[in-house]
Amino acid sequence: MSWHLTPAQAHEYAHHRADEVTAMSVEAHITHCAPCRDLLPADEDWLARSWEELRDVVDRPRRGPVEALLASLGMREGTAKLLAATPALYRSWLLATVAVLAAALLAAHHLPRGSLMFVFVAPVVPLAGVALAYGRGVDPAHSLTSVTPLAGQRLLFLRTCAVLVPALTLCMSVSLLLPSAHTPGRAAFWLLPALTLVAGSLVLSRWIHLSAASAALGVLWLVALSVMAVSEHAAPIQLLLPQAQVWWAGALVALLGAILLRVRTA
Amino acid sequence: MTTATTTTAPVHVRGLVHRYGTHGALDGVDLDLGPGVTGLLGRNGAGKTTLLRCLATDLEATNGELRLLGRDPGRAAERTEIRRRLGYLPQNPEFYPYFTAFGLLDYMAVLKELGGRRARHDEVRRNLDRVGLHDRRHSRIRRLSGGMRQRLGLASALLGDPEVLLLDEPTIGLDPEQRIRFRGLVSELAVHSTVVLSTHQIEDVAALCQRVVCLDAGRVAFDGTPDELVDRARGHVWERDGHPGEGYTAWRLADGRYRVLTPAGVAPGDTDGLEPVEPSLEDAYLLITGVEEGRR
Amino acid sequence: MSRVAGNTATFARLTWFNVVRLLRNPLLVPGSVAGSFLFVYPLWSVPAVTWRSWYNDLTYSAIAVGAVMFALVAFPATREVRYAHRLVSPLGLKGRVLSLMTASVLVSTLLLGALAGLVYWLSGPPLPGTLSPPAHPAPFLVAAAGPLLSIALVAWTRSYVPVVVAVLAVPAYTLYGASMMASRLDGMARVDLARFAMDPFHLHLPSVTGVAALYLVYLVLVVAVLVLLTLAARGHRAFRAVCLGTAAVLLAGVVGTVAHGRQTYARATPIPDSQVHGARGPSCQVRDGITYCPLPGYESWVEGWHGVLEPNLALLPEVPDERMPVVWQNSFSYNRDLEVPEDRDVMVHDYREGHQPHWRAQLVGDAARVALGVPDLYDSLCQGTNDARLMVVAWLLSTGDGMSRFEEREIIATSLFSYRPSPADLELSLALAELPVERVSEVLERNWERLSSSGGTSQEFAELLGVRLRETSARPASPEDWARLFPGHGYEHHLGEVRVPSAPACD
Repeated sequence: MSWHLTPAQAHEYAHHRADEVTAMSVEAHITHCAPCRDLLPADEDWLARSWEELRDVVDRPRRGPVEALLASLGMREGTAKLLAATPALYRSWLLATVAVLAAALLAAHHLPRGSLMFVFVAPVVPLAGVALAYGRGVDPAHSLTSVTPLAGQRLLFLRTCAVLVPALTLCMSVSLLLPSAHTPGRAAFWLLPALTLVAGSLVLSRWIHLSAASAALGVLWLVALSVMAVSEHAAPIQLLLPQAQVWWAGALVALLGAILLRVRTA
Repeated sequence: MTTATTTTAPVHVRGLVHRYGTHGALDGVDLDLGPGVTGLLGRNGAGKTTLLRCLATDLEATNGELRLLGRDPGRAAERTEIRRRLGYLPQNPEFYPYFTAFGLLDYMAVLKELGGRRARHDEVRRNLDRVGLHDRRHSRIRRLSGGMRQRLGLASALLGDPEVLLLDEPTIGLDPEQRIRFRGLVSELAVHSTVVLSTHQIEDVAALCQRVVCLDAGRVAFDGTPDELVDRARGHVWERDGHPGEGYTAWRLADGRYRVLTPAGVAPGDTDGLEPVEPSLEDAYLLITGVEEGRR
Repeated sequence: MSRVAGNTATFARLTWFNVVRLLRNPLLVPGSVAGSFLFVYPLWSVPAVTWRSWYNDLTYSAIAVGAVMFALVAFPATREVRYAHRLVSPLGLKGRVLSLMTASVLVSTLLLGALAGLVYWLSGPPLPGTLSPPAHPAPFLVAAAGPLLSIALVAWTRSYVPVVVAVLAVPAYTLYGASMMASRLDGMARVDLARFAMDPFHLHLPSVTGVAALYLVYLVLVVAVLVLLTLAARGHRAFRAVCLGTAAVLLAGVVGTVAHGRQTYARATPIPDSQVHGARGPSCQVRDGITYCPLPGYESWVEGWHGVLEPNLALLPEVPDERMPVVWQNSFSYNRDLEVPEDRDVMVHDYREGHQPHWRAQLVGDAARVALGVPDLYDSLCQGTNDARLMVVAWLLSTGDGMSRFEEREIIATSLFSYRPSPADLELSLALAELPVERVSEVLERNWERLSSSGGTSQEFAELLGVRLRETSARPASPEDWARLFPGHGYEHHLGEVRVPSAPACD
């Protein structure tokens, strides 16, 4: 091309006053003519901002699938990051939970009264996850994270949520696939005990390590079941009958109250 | 009026006691620390890490008074406020190995409640630059070397330019170049922040600290400037051609002579071939913490 | 050469270190003992221990030891697999994992050996029965499979997954078993997943050499597969391929062994004594005219059976040889292939519930019915209303010692019930129990021909004894009759279950 932009043409173009044909040929010209490009005024701030923006988009770490899913569900970006980033033991727990629940489902369909396996396991699945969710010894980076402002109860509750959501989803799916499950209401018999045990361990964690608290409650649950199994006049399943559910609900409300009180007074 | 001035110090410690079971790790520590770098010296097990963990609000002291930035870490709300303005590098920090360097700092920045995403990412980048990890920002942590992990821990402590910065053995595994860089970084921060540095690296103390605190068996054995510490050693450090024999703390130097420490001093006329020399900070440190007394 | 020797010495030292560390684990011994107790406790209701019951206990203990070791070994295994690459040592990762495997097998063997000895000592040796030599190592391999499986899982997952699985699943599974027991569904509880994996054959016969050998081959193959799978988790591609290939071949061997075993030894396969370990010569012996055919290893029990039968049969006047009972012992776990005269056979089992009245009554009743020629209801359905022979049987049963009055009446009722006795029969049977033994013997002596034939009636017997019966009905007793004559025994409720429209009289 033999012509160059005059300052007047450049001014016209920059202020969007050039006609369409001229604008197109100006654009075609300036893409390969540096001196003419320099005639056009530039918004340095805008450029810098855009560049930073672009750099951030290119440079920031890729989001994991869980984080992306949570973010797409409308969760705040920081919260999604905290929920997705979980201690290494969490993955062991998740794998183990899938394996055990699959085995329980298999047992339910192929063993006489095999659903009992699920009955015994489901209430402690979330508890086991909570035991491995937070604290020195189970969280490798605990010494780093424990002194951040979010540490303590807030991180504890976040991690608990990160455990509860998959645990409850998995257990619910399995319980709906049980041979005896007909309605979601009937399939949720394990839910209140599971939540109560988790709430109990959160309350206890004020005094002892969370893992120890969860272990203590898990052992308590097993002892209760064993006593019922061995006793002549009772069966473990009685702990999950509708009459017992009322008690579980009561205990859960009381424990949640204790947690709320603790959060508010803290 | 003294109380008013001491409580305004960013780190204010009175009679701090901490016990693990029956074992007392801290046995009545009194300290007031302000902006600048304070070196925390002491033998293994003297209570340095315990003191730092107490200051970092990671451990609750068994007894005593502790005020950080004028707040009481015993109260949850005040503790959270302290933690927003505090950076802590623990001894041998561990990370989630499957995180990237950027991802971990980003995660820590979320935990530290640092701004929106852009601001947070900028802060993460700035700190990765500061510790020279910018090029490795997308490497998984398990692929980083020990020194790089140490720098990552340092970057995590530096997030948000904390007003109180507690560093437990920060220069372990750093090469000389990184160590120089680290010193520059810390002295820059120390203009406005209170930095506490627990270390066995005397050169770091000599290069960085305006103040030295020596702990011994959970108590403050010395609190003063490095020069004051060196002054205390005067008259206790000697050199000699051969080994002075049993009962002396002595080691062989590169030139074949022996350096001799005499904690209890030497009786006049009993110098026995000992030539007095100018003590170094290391001599002073050894004298105040490491040498059993009265072995002569 | 010296390098190999050096490595072997290092391997041995590391293995010893691992053994000591495992043994020092505070959960190991209490966990194994508690687990064994939980598994074995329900089986301790059997007072007489045989090699078979001891072996069953041992197998359950092996499961307990294996489960505990499964959980505990995961920790050192994770240590080796995850962090050992940071250590520089003459032994590579594979060597260290192999050492841990060796140590865990040693520890489980040691522990199970101690438990086996303890149970053996508690059960008061010598034990009756036999164990085939290939059966001996099997429980130890079962116990070893637990830690080996755990190490294999850790090697592949590099995480604590096996521990979490064990912590979640083992208590639930144990509770499941316990509640099945408690709800009297033990028969169903035998559908036992763990047992299936540990013994997939139809027959579990430690005394039969063929079966025990197959089982041993199966376990050895499984253990070898586990070891190979563990080794295949790490190393060069070629090495892993070789390990996995060998494991696949062995796995095919496992499947083949199981298929072969299930085909050769189906559930009802009759097994002759010649296949049982320790069988020597003819298995039957005759004492005072009674033939006894114990299973190999149970010869000492003949004394017990004879001690029960002989005094009772001695109360009967001469019984012809062709009516003398043949007492033969069948196994609880398989069908014994033995020729016995069908109309004279009395079956006993290879478990003994001591000298309880019911066991004794069963043996004496069966033998007496053979001697008197009363058909066994299992063989031919018949009606024994007013049959004097049944009265003799009932009388013999009532002469036993050490029974409460209720037990005595219960035993009499049980022996008569299915033959549909009349009210007069019932009354006479009760009256006989009250009469002096000599008087009844005397009457039998004098009228033996008549009373031991199918024509003799209970009315005749009563008249000969001089007993006056208030009950006159000769028709089978109604529920009301049962409730009146045997109050509190509840037979009136069962009557509907045996009502047969028309059964011929027992000849």
